Amino acid sequence: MRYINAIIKILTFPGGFLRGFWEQLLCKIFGIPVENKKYFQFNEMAGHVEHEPVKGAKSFWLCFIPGLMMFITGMIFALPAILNIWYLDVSGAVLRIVSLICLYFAFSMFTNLFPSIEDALMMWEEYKDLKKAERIVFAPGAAIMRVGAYAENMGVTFLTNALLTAAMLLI
Amino acid sequence: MDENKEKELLEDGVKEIDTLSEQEKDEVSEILENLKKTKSDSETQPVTDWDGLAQVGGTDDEIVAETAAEESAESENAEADEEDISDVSEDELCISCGKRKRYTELDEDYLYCKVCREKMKKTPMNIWGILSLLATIVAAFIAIVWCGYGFSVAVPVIKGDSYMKDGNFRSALTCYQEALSMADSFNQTSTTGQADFDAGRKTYAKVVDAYYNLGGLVSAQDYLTYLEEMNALSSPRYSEANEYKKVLDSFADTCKSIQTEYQSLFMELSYAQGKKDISDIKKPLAEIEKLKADSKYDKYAVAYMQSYLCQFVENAEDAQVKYLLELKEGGKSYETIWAPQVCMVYLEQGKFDEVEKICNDIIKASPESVEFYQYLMKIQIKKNNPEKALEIYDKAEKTVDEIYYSTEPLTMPYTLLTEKAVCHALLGDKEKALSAIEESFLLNVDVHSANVYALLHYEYHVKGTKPSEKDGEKVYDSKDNGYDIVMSLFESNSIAVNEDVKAAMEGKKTLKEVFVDGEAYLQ
Repeated sequence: MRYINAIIKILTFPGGFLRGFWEQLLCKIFGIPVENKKYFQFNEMAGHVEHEPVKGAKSFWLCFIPGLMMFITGMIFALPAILNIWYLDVSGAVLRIVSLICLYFAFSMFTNLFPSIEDALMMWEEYKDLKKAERIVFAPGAAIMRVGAYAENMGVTFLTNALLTAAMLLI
Repeated sequence: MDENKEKELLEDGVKEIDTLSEQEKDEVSEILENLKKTKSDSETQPVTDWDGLAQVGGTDDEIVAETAAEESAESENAEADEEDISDVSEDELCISCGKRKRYTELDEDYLYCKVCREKMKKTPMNIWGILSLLATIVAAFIAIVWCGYGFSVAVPVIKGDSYMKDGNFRSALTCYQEALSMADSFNQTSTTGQADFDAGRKTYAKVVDAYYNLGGLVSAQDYLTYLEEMNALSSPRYSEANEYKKVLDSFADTCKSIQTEYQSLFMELSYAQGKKDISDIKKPLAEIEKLKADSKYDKYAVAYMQSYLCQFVENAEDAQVKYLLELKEGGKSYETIWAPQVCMVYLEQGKFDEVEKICNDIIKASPESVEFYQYLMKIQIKKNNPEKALEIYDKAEKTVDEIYYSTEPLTMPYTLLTEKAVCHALLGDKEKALSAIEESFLLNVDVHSANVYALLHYEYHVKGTKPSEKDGEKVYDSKDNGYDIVMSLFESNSIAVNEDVKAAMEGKKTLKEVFVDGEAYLQ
């Protein structure tokens, strides 16, 4: 499984790098010691940074904020791609190539939305200890991130994104 | 490795642990040897003791800066370094440096000592991460610019889709055409000089669909050709457009084939100028009728050609209507071919109820088909009810105001404006009649509207006046020169002024006799 994850991260390297960047930046902001800032390792940590365990709500934000940033960035690239390729189906060479590049970037960002399994599990453990009000607020995000982390690690998000992209190009 | 660490380890920093076994002492010695070796390496190469952990993309400068930061951090924490670890087990030592006790003040599970943690917190950002952020910002900027293009074209298309959903096909068509012209304007500003921008194959397909729903598939021919040039018709995405193309091609091929086959007959009828009767073309009509059974021919195109043939001869109105109504069975595709022609024939025959039924059905199905209001107006004019005709005009105008989408200031179709002018002329309202026909003339002109224009300008400007001379030419309409303009238009197009109009100009007929008792379409 670790190789599948690593291969996916290589295929979607712009998103992998950016995800790693946001995670490291968040670690810096939260004062979390970074153990390994290599973004690309040939294992399940590909596209992530290794850091010391994080306590409390910080663990949620450390997983959530990079995901949110990746989502926003992905949308910025997805919009022109969706409009030009799927909605209008432009045929001009330049416009189509630029739109396809945007589509790849969007694909890459959306394939790197979720935290590593390690982070997700840590976030889940910390989530259980949060105050009731926080647990209610963070529940959807925490559940999505936990499931998403496994799905991303197993290549499910890659496959679903690939299918969506193919559908967009063909239908 | 810095000097503090070395001192700490090699001199007095680390106390001998008496409880260590021989084997453990050997291991400690080995670690010390390794540290010495690291020290000698660090003199030749500026790397830190945790290079192995994370230096992807780190430049020499960055690493030197990092080393300096480490040294500073260590000196600041010199006191902490002094702690006694003699009674600390190996499991409690920092897993990074292995020299100090883990930092357990915050959490027992922390694997690193305070110094190492501080250093790790100050880990510089990965250069690839920064580069990827910068690249993403640039790419996102480009994406937003392209998104702007996509949006500016997609907005009218989205608007058009909404009109299509509501059944307002004409407005939808206007929106789609707005998107197409938007793409054209982008191309005009393109520096490459090539057609880089286009409104997209789907927009073209939507234009075709809108034309189909408006009953004017024939008008979509150009757009289908564009789609074909863009290799879209072979894609399953455009199967509907491909079907339309097949219908049109089959229609055109059949028409062409019949025209070629009966070329001499068409020429003969054309030269006869209405002197022939329906009985003269019965045989060719029967021959053509047989083609309907042949799958090679489009039966609707065959019917259309039969109706076309009937136009050249006298007393063929019923036959013409019969063939045109066959086209009605072909669905929306041929509506703009058969409906106006059938309405005109029925109007000439005085079959006003039939005209009303056709027009009301079409308007009900597609409220934007305001051009069909002109036939309803003509019925009232024929019945000498200009007031009622104007009421119909107001209804059409209301429809246009309420549901019509236009990129330009809204105007009524010129055909309706012409009928409006006729109504005002019949009511004796000179100013309104002239204003309406003027407006109509500015929008478009056909033989009927040109005749109405000429007659009204003659009636209100020329009649009873003497022509003046300007540059050696006679000027009849000294008011606004309108009569002279339209007469020269007739002349340049070799079209004769309508007989009734000519008679009215000669004082032989009144306006009522021309518009009410004369032809519904002045030709």
